[in-house]
Amino acid sequence: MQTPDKSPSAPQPTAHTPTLRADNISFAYAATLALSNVSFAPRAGEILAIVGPNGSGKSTLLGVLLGALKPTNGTVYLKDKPLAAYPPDAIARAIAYVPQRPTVAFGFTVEEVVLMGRWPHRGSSGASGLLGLPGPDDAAAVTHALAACDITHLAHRRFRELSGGEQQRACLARALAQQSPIMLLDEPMNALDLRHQLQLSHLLQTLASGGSAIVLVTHDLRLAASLAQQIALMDRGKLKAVGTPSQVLTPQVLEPIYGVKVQQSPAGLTFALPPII
Amino acid sequence: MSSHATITKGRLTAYGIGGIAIVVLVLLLCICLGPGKPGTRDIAFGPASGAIMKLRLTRVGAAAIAGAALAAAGVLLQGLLKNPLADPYILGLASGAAVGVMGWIVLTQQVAGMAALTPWLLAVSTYGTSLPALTGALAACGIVYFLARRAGSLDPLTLLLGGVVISTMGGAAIMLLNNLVPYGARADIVSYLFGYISEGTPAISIYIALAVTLAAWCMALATAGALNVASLSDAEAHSLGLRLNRMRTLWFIAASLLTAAAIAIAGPIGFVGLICPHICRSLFGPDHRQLLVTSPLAGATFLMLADTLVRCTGGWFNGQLPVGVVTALCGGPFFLYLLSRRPSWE
Repeated sequence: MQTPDKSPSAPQPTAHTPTLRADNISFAYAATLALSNVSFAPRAGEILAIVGPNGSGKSTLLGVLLGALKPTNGTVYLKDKPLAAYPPDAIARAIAYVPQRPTVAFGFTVEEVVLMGRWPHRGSSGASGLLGLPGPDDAAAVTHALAACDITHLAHRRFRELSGGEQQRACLARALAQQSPIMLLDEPMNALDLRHQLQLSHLLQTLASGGSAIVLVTHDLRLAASLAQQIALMDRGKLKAVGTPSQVLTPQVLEPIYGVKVQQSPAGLTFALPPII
Repeated sequence: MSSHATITKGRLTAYGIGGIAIVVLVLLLCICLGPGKPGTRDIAFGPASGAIMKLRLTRVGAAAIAGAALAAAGVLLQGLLKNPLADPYILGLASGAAVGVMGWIVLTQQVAGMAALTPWLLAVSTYGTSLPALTGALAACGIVYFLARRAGSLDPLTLLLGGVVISTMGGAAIMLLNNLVPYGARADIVSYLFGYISEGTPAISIYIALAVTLAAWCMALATAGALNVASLSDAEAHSLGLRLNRMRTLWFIAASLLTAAAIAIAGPIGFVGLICPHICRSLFGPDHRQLLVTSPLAGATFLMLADTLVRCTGGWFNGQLPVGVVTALCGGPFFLYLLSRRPSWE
């Protein structure tokens, strides 16, 4: 993956763009409460990492921030207006999403999948006619996104033939082609090899320094510590702590939530299972 | 590597113009073929040219409309359900239509005490059965729709399961009604269940089917780009600004109208709606904008040729075969050949 350049197709939010704000949101799947009174606000120009044990509600929180799940209580605000007040296209132009497990039915090529990221911009990108056929702006954005994610050589391969890591990079390229100033990523490093993990980290930092707000769900606390300016720690649907890595990633905060021994040293965090009594 | 390139306006126009040219050529060829050997010269200049032209044009035209409608419905349903095995009848429309026709026949027999049942059955797909077929098909898809619409959203899997259950129940109802029909008439009913296109189809039925097909196809083509985005997971499609529930409802209605239009003029012909989208996906790629241009044209061509084969081979089989037999027996091996090369959904 390469550093996004300053071409016209690159996202150009400003560092002070107001972003998303979750205000006291709760969400339930039928009778199961998945989120309870969660409030936090990712900031433009920063990476916010959401961490927490399995089933703590991280992915549900992303779904609510995205507007795919309607909160049972509370409100998500985008630029000080409730998310529900925006048409879906406008939300998509503001918020991009990279899923944990991408799904693409049928034999679409990588290029076609990345081009789907331009769907919210149809009619305003030189696209032709009612059918929303791609225009010159769309082609430029796709070319840029493919290059930024180091998958130009895979452009004409079928998405479903790719490895998990390549699929993840294609989804990231689709999100880049969307050119939204807010990006939500659900465990994007999971399927990536070491080189592409480092490249993705660099890409996310570059996007954030360009003014984007990045929200990243991850299980990797070391990655969160090295990458994020803010950490939100979730446990059983509740937000247990929000703050800088040095405030949240401490033995006192982590041990009761993960049930492991945490040691902090100049080299970073180390973890161990507690002794069996 | 992929064998297809990304869609462009020029490519789409070329496919459309090329496809329409092929359909027109095949239509002219099919009008020239048939029993009685009135060749092109006879049709154009012979004494019976007007009558022959009218009869054959009616039948070939009905086949073209039904084929195009079924193939377009197949593209929509495979895209909507994200399932390459979906065909226009998976949502129970065929059995709904058959139940409608059977119920109408039994009802007419019971109410009027009609002895002359056989002419009714021989005149399947005429005005008398178009309306019951349409009613049955739309009733079936209405039930499936309301089953699948829960908590304000239309769930593809529930839609699929509801369709399978309605189809099975419809099959049972057909057998039940079949036992209320005189024994000698049952063969005609089996024939109807495989689809049958008649020269006697009233012009008004064909015009209505054509208008419904064109309207539903326009709805489908205008939203075909969204159908591509709907190939992603629901959360991803939502994140790209797609109003999934609204679009799924629209595609469901369009597919139902297309299928009902085909059933009303040709009975429940199988296989066209399944294989034409696959063939076109293999040849042109999975973009639904291309598929909704190429697949209906392929469906029209395929059904015109299949029905012409039926007309030309009537002498070999104690009367004309149901066209569904030909679509399955001719389309099946070709489909298997395509599968052996590369499944179109991969």
